[in-house]
Amino acid sequence: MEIKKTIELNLEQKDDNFICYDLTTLKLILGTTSVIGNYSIYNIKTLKNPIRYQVSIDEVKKRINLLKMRKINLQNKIEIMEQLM
Amino acid sequence: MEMTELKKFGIKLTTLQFKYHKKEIQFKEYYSIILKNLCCVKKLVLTIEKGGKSEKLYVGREGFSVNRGGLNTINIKHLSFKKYIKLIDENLEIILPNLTKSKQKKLKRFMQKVYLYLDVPFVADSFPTSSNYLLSLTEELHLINWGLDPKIEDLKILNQRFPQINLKEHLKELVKTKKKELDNFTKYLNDLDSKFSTYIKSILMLRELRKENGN
Repeated sequence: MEIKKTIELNLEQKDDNFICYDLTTLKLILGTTSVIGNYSIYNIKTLKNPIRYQVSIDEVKKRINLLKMRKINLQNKIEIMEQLM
Repeated sequence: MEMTELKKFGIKLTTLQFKYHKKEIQFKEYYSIILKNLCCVKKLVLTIEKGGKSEKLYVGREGFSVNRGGLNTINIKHLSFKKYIKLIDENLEIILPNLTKSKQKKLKRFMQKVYLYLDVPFVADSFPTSSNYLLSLTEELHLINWGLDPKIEDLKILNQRFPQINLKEHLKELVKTKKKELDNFTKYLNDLDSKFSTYIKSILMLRELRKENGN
């Protein structure tokens, strides 16, 4: 995914959920570009008038942990590649 | 397997088309039906989806072809694709007589290339090993492999099997790109994590308070 240098999050916190006002924010907090069509996978609820996206705090926590794992995997991969060189 | 059974699966006899990932479990079943009914199947279109793009591989009575542009981006490391290739491999004797000579050659050539990545023993005796071939192979590896996300195990196998190919140069470039990716990713992750840690802490605290109050 395209990574911005600073992240602007257009969202608010309501009870145990985050309400995102745009898809970009939703993609950023879930760390994925494939949000559309995968609403059930990421437990996203669409709210209307205006359109907003509701994601639970647990989902965001889960995604952040997954992203941390991805980072570790990437680091390991680089190390092995360097060993192979 | 009879034609009526093909209809039972809702398969059109002229063109079989399905999205591979979504039908992964049924694929073997589909394929065995297709092989047994090859005489009445004109074309099978296998769509492989990767990163929002889809690539098509055509197999069937009319011939076997791989879209040239597609070959560069098909994820042939995908486990399911491995299964698919193995299925073709195991059934080459059934498929080949149904193809024209030129298509047979094309399929054999394609399979030879694929075996490189799949660690399956070569079947063709005439596998070319000339330096020219290795050179073009290196170029193809660059096209096919480096655009994707090569697996370390595959690189090791490749290195052992073809010590002639200089992997160092490719790896150098790859490590450079991956390091840049890691830097950007770390910045993004730290930023995201710091922004959310306050939110998450406050929500967790609220939950604890609710529990204590019995709500």
